[in-house]
Amino acid sequence: MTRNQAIELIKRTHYGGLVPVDASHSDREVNLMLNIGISVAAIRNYRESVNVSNEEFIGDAFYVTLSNLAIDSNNEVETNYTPIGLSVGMVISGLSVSGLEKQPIPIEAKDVFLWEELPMEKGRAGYHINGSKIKFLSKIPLTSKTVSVRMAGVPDTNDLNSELNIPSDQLSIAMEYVINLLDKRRQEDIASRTAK
Amino acid sequence: MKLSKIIYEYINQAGHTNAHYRRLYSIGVRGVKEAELDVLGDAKVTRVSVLPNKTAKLPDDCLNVLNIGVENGLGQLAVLKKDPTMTGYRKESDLRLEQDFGKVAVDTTRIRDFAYINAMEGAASYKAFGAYDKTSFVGSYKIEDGIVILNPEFGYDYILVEGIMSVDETDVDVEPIAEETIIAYLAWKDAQYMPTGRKMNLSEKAMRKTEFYNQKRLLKARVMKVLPSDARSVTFDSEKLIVK
Repeated sequence: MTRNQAIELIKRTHYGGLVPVDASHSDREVNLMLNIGISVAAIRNYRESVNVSNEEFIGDAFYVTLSNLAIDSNNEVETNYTPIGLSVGMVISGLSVSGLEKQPIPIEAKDVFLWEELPMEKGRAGYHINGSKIKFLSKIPLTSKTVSVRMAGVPDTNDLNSELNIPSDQLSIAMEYVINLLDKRRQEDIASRTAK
Repeated sequence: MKLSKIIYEYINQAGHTNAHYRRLYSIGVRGVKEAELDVLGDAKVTRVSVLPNKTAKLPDDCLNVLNIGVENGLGQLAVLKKDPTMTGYRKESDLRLEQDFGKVAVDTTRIRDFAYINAMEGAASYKAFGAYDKTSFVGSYKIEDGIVILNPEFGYDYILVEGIMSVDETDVDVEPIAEETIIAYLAWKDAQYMPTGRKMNLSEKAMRKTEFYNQKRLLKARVMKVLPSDARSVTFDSEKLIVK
């Protein structure tokens, strides 16, 4: 399902039919809410998998593969995706840097200080999440190399024709989250109008 | 085999993510050191120069000293005698030999009278049996704070240190026979300090510990096998000349 289709469904549900021409919610606004909804669904999916099967897991469909991202002179790469709030090992299921014999390993943000302190094999680089960027820790220069990464997150762009990165069974959770937000706002709008 | 392969085997079995790699590598290095110390470690010999004050510094990566000696003419290690009474006073000072050695009278000349030298060949004498013979004395040593303190009369400008050396932490090779032992060590140490709760209970921690020691026992049995050739060698070595 594309973002446009999901947004139309949400708005129709919210307005109880066709969306009025003077609807106060723009598609862009609903798209932003949908991004938050996807993150919420991912975390809920994670908790359920831990509670039910005792496995740390989120649905494969939450992941997107980003290829040919260039590493800049600060040893960082911009993904234009906001990662979900799980450990880096869950957020990034795979990362490869062109031309490296040993592929980098993810480092939890809380463990970055240990990178220099504890033993690590020769030629192995590390990386950690830094906002929407991935920061590399490496003794060998990585600038101009390209990265391919598979991560769970939501895009910072507004391409409404793109496919949603969420499993179909989790989509209802994201949509319900957005509809609840919109309903809450409508109730507040009505309340403020009534007060006048 | 590389330690990284063993770590990925454990990550796979434990259902971990790649984010555990850094921590497991660090634990794995300790596991390999443990296995090297008790079972796998092949003694490596390092030549160390003797300083003018008759001390020598142990190699930094030496985990455990097995023997200290010098080469003899037969390609063997002529071992030095361990002397626990030697003092480490001023061991790091150039003035070590300026100490008041001999203030307390020590006369060992009479001891030679009791040496049983019962084999002669030209000017050379051999001790075949009898009381302690000073002719086989190469030197004596004591180790304190990573410094080998030698007897003041030590006559060589080097010593050979035979010991278990630490692994190269940035490039760890593991003997394939120890794979299961290292995996068991990773499993145990991975859980040892984890708060007891949903993920780990006390009995599981205890089981992992038991599994490691069992794997270590098996490793020892596999590595230190007693072969018929070893038995023959013991028999050969135990044939000595004795007074009848």
